[in-house]
Amino acid sequence: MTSAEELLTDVQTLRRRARRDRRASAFPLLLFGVLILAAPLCYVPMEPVELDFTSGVWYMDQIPEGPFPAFFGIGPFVAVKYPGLIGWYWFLVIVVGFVATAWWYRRRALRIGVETDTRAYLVSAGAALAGFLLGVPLLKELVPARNTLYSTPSTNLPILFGSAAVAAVVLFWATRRDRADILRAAGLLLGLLLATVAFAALGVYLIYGFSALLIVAAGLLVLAWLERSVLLGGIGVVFGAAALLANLYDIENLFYLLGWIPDQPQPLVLQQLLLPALVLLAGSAIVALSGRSAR
Amino acid sequence: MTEHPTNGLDDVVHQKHRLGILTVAAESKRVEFGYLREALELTAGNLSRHITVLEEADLLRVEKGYDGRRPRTWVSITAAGRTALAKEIAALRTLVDRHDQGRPETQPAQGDRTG
Repeated sequence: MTSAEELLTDVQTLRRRARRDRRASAFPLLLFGVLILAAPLCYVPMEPVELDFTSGVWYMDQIPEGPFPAFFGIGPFVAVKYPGLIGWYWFLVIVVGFVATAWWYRRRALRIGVETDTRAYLVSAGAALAGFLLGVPLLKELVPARNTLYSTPSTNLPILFGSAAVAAVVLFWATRRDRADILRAAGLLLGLLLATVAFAALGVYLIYGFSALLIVAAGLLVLAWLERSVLLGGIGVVFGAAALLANLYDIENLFYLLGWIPDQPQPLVLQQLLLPALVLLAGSAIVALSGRSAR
Repeated sequence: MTEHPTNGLDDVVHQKHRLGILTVAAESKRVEFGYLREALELTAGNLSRHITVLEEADLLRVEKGYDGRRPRTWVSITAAGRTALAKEIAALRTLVDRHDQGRPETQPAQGDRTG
C-alpha cells in the first residue's frame, strides 16, 4: 500500500469514527414518538349539548379553532372540548421537541467530545413552522384561486413543487464550500424563504391538523443529512410517508376492516397517529441497537 | 502538460496527525482535545503542538472553557481549513490514481516528525 493510500485509509477510518460517535438520534426519535402517541389525550370530546343544531349555523362553524388553526383539523377530530389545548400541544411538541434535541446533542458532545452542528436542524423546523402557521393564511390571502386554493391544484401544486425545487437548488448552491460569505448568506435566506413557501403550499392540503408531523419529518431528514446517517434517512423517509398518510387519508377506513370502529375523537386521533408514532419508536430502538453494536 | 499532484500537497496539512485532526474537526461542529488525543493516539504535548501549527495557519480555531470545574479545550475547523483539507484529499486521490496506473509516486507522505 502506498503512503498516500495509507493516509486516505486513515482519513476514512477517522471520518467513520467521528460520524459514529456524534450520532445521537435515538433520543429525538423516542421523544417525538412518545409526544405523538400522547397527543390523543388532548382531544377531549365535547358534550353534544355544547353544539346548537337548531340555530341553522353549521356545527363546524360553531367550533373555535384555537390559536393555531394549522394544528386543528376538520372532520371527526373537531368536536372537542378544548381546541386551544390541541393547538398549544402541537406547538409545544415542536418547540420543546426541537430545542430538547439540540440540548441533547450538546450534552452528548460534552460527554463524548465531538459535537454535531444542529443549527440547520433548528432552522428547518423554523421554516416549516413558519410555513404552516403563517404561510398558509398568507398564501390563501395573496394567491387568487377560482374557489379555494385547496380545490385549485392547478395553482397550488406548481407553487408547491416549483418553490421546493428552486429552494433545493438555491440551498445546494449556497452551501458549496467556495461560496463567498455574502453570497452564501443571501442564498441561504432566499432558499429558506422558498422552502417556507413550499411548506405553506403543502399546508393548504393538511386539513386534518397534523402538520406538526411533517415538521418533525423535515427535521429528521435534515438531522440524517447532518449525521450522514443512511439509517436515520430511511427512518425519516418512512416517517414522512406515514405523516403524509395521517394528514391526507382517513386511517379509520383501515381500522374499520379490523373491526375497531370508534366514534369519539380520542380513539379516532389515536388511529390516525398510531403508525407515525410506532415508526419513530421502532426507529429509536433500531438506532440505539445499531449504535451499540457499532461500538 | 498537467501539474503534478504533489504540487497540490500543503506542507502544513500533509502530515498524518494534522490531516487526522482536520478530518475529525471537519466532521463536527467542534471536537474536544481529549477526543482527538484518544482517536489519534497521541500524547497531550504532541497533539497540542499539531493544533498550534494548524491554528497559526488559520486552519483551526481553538476555544478554551470549563465544563463545571473541569477545563476543556475545543477545536473547530475554519473555512480555510475545509478548503485545505479538500485540496489535500483530492491531491492524495490523484496520487493514488497515478500510482494505480503504474506511474511512480514521487513524494511519500511525511511521518510524524514531531511526535
